[in-house]
Amino acid sequence: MRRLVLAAAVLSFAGCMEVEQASSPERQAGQTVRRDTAAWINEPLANGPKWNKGDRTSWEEQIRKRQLAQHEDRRIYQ
Amino acid sequence: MARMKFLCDAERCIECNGCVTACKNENEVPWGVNRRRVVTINDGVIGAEKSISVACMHCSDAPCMAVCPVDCFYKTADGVVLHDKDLCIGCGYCFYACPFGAPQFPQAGAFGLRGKMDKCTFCAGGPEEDRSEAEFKKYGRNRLAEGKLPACAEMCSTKALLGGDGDVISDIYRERVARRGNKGAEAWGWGSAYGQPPKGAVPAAPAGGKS
Amino acid sequence: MEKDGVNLLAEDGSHPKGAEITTGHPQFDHVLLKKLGWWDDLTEEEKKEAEGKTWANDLSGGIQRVALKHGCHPFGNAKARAIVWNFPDGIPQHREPLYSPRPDMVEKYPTHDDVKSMWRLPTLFKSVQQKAVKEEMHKKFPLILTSGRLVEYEGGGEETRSNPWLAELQQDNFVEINPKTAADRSIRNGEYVWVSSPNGAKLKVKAQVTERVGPDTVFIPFHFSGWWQGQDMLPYYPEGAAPIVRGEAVNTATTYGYDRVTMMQETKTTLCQVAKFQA
Repeated sequence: MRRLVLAAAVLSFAGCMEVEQASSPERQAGQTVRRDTAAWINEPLANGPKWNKGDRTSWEEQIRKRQLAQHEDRRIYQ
Repeated sequence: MARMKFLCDAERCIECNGCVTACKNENEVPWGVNRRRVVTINDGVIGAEKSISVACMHCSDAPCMAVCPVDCFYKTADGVVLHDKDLCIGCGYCFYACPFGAPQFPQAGAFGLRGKMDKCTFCAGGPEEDRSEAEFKKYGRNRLAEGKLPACAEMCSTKALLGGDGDVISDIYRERVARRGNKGAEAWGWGSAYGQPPKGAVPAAPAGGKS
Repeated sequence: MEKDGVNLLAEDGSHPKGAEITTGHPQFDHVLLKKLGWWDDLTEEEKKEAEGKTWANDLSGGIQRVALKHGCHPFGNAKARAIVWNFPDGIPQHREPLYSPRPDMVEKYPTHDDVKSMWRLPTLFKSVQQKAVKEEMHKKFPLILTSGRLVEYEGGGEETRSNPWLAELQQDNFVEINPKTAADRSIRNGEYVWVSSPNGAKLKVKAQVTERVGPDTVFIPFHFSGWWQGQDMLPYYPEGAAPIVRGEAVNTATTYGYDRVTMMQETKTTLCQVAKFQA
């Protein structure tokens, strides 16, 4: 009888060791760091490329134009 | 705007290491940390030697971000994968996960001392305030915040390494491939790396591209 | 278009691919265009400008345009384009280097005679070459040693080897050896070797076993200095003045020899022997 009580106690305690899995959706990676700001909110440098401060589209426009300097096939074969 | 990407055209890469030096210069990367490397295969074998410049590829589904135990990675609106050195514990797990070996560790020592992980930032700095001294010391130059593109791509001597908006890169590369002529052997090699010459001109190398 | 009775224009059949003139011809000028009947290919403005001119001073560019249109070189189609009357060799002749691996080639293509006064200095040619042949240098030093540049460094290397970003890319001086040559000497990639040359030099450099050089040649870049016969000379530099990367200077191994006209030193071709490094 005593053995049975002991066995029951051990078995019931075994369940306490397991950690409950969260039932909510798993945490997404990459969500912890939030403090970085976008590139286009900065004031353009005095002697550098120009865009409208805060305006994403104008920043993207000038970057795209700048990138075409890498397309030198166009420069060679006019 | 599409995400920011790199593409290295192995037909044009001449292993000049200009990209490596530009990155080191711009970001004042210490000795032993290789944010960008040029890998050459079949060195010395005529016709088969190819070089390619490799750094962080800023993956859409970045393995480094997925495995980081302290979740110090994040992705900007342009798709640039950056990380926060203040949170980094230097475990090296991102290095295991990365297929390109992009994460670099500045220290080597007994007991796995690695220091904070460092890698190519697409010249976009880090979470510190843009263009500040703190950001430069920790992460290098923030060229995107200056309206410029990564130093390596802008410095490439042969325009093998393209960097910037993925759509524009695709356009540039597609035009290149079209100019090279997709017919079998003409697609590869020095003879067509800069496109077929205008009609009537003497071709640069015999067809097949072997120089 | 001839000198000493020899025709200087190209022979029949020797012409640029796709040219309409398949024989030799002098440079294009207004006379030649008119003779060929191509004068009317020029526009009116071009004709005005090109009258009395050659391809070189026709500012309209018309003579060049018409010549190219017909697939011909505007500057003419001839044999030697430069015969330099006042050089010892009017057109470049092959002459074996002073230290040559082939005595039979030395026999066939000997170098110049010694010069008593080249820019007021006596300069030796034939006597050095003959002495090397007599002493059978090609047997003691069977490999051709050539020197050249690296991308990462410039010139003597003191400035660029002090730059940490460039120094990290090339940290040791090395010798490129063909796999067969290396195997004959039991040399493995990355091992140190001794390179010796006819002037008594000894260089301790790392071996790079590669197909880039043929089995009869080795290559050593010339940007390094700071080692002398295997010993790092770092203690001899003033405090803080030593470049980050130091290595053997290949020009301690390159031998006597000068160009007959320019006095340019003969550092790109000499002889050497390579042996596995023994301390």
